Amino acid sequence: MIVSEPWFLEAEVNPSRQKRVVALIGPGAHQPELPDAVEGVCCTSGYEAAAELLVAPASALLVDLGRITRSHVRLLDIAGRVGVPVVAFGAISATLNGATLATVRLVSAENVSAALAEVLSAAGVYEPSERDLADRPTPAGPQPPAERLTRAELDALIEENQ
Amino acid sequence: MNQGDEKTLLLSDKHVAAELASLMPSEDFVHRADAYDALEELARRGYRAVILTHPYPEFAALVQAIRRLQPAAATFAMCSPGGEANLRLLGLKELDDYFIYPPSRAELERALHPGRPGVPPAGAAPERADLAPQEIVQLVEAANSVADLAEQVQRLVGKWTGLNVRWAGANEDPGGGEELLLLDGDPPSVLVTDKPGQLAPGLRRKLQTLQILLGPVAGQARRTETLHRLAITDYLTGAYNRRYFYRFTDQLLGRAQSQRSRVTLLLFDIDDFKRYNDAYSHAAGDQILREATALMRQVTREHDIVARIGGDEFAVLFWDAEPPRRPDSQHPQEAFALAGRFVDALAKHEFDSLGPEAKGVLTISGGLATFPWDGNTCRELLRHADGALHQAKESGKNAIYLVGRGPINQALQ
Repeated sequence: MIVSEPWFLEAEVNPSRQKRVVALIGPGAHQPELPDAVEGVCCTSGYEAAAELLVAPASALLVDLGRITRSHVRLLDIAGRVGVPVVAFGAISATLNGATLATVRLVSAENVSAALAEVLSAAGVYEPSERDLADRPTPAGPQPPAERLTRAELDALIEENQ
Repeated sequence: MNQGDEKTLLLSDKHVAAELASLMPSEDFVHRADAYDALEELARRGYRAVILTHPYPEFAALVQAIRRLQPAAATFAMCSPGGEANLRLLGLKELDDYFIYPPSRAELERALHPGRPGVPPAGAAPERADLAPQEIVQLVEAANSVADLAEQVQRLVGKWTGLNVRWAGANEDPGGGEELLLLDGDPPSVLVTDKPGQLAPGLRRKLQTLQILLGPVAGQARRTETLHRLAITDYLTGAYNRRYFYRFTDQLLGRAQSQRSRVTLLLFDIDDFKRYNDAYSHAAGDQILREATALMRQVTREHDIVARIGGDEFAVLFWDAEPPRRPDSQHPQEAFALAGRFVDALAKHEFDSLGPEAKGVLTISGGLATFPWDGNTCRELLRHADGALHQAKESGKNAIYLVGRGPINQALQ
C-alpha cells in the first residue's frame, strides 16, 4: 500500500536523476545494453510500463512502438506528465500521429543504446568514459537526425511508415 | 491508513458502476472507465480494494500493473456468466477473487468488508439476475443481423416487463420515456418504454445483465452482417454479385409461380465499354461502372435487384412486391418505363471520369424478358434477354429490346 505521496507529486524529486530505465519491448526482443549503474525494468505491456513509471522515478522510457496499440497511446502521455523522456524505435502504427510523438525521440533499433546513453548522460545520470566512447560501435547505414525532428518532418516520416 | 484507504476503485463501464453504487450506496466507490486513468488514480492514493471488469485488453498485464501500484489492496475481477471460463483460464494468482456480474450485495459485502458484523456468511443464496439459458440461446441465434437481434431483444424485454418497448435513436429525445438498453451501432439505438419508473429492482438488474451480453452478441451480429454483405455483393460497384443474382432470381420465380406475380429481367451492357477502358484507363472504366450502378439504383424501386454479372454486364430484376398477376394482364409497363428512365438518366449524366464534353456519349444496349411469358427459370429468362440484347446491338446499339417485340419505345406505343 502506498504510505506516502506518490513520487511525481513531490516537488523535490527530479526524475531525470534516477538511474532507472523502464523498457516496453516485445517478449523475446533484444534488450538494449545499459550502463552498469543503470537499472533496466523490462515490461511487455503498456499497463505494466505505466505502473513502473508511476510507482518510482525513472530516467527514461524506452518503447518499441509496435507495442503502442490504440489502447496504450496513453502511456506516452503519462511519461510526458511525469517528466520521463521517451526513446522509441520500431514501426509507427496508424494509431500514432505527430502530436502523440511530438515529445518522443525516434531512433532506429540499432541506435537505441546510443540514444539511451545520450539521454542518461544529458540527465546527469551517467558519464560515458573515454573507453565507452571508444568501444561504442559505429552504426552502419543512415543515421537518425541528431536534432529533434520538426513537426512537418515527423508527419512526413509517419506517412512514409504507414 | 492513508487518505483514500477506505475507498474502492471500480474500473468498469458506467452501467456497471451505476449498478454497484445502487447495490451498495454506503460504499465509497471511485469509478474510472479507462485503464490508464485507473492506474494514475491508484498511484495517487491508497485503496482498500480494486474491482475491474473482465475483459479489458491485456487483462493479465492490467491486473499485474494494479498489483504493482497497490500491492495491499484486495483485487477482484467481475465478469459476465459467459466470461467466467475465460477468466479462470487466465489463472491469475494476483486476483483475490472474482464475481459473476451482477454480484449480490452479500457477495460484495463479504469481499469488501470481511468480518464486518451483519455481513451474510459465505454460501448464502445468491441474488442473481441471470437470463434463462433458453433466452441466451435465442439472443445468440438472432445474431445473424443487428435488425434480428434488436427485434429479439425487444420481444424479450417486452415479455419480461409487460410494457410496450420500442427502439429509438440514441440522440432522440425520449420525451418523458425511460431508456432501458443501449444497442451500440452506427447509429446507436436505445430501447425505451413510454412508462418510466415501472420496473422492479430485480428486473432492472436483469436488464443490466442483458446489457452486458448485448455488447459481444451485437458485435457478432455486425460481423455476420459484414460477411454476408461481402459474400453477396460486387466489390467494385456495390451491386449484387452474379451468385446472389442467380440464387435470388430462382427463389423469386418460385414465389412468382405460386403467387401469379410478374418478374421482368433487364440485361444490359455499356456500348463499346472497352473503348472507354482503353482511351481513359481502367480506373476511369471502373468509375463508369460505379456511376452506372448508382444511376440504376436511383431509378429503380427499393425492392428491385441490380446485379453486376460480368465485366460491364448488368442484370436488373423488376418484380411486383405486392399485387398478383391478373389473367388479362399485359407486359409489365412499369418495368419497361423504369428501364426507359435509366436510359434517359444515363444520357443526361455527366460522368466524372469522361468530362463534361462527353455527356450523352455513353449508351447502353439491353434486352428485356418477362416471366411467365419469356421463361420460367433464371437461365431461360437470361437466355431470352441476351437474345434481345444482341438484337439491340445488331440494330445499331443504344436501345433496349423486348423479347420478340423490338425496341422498347416502339413496343410501348
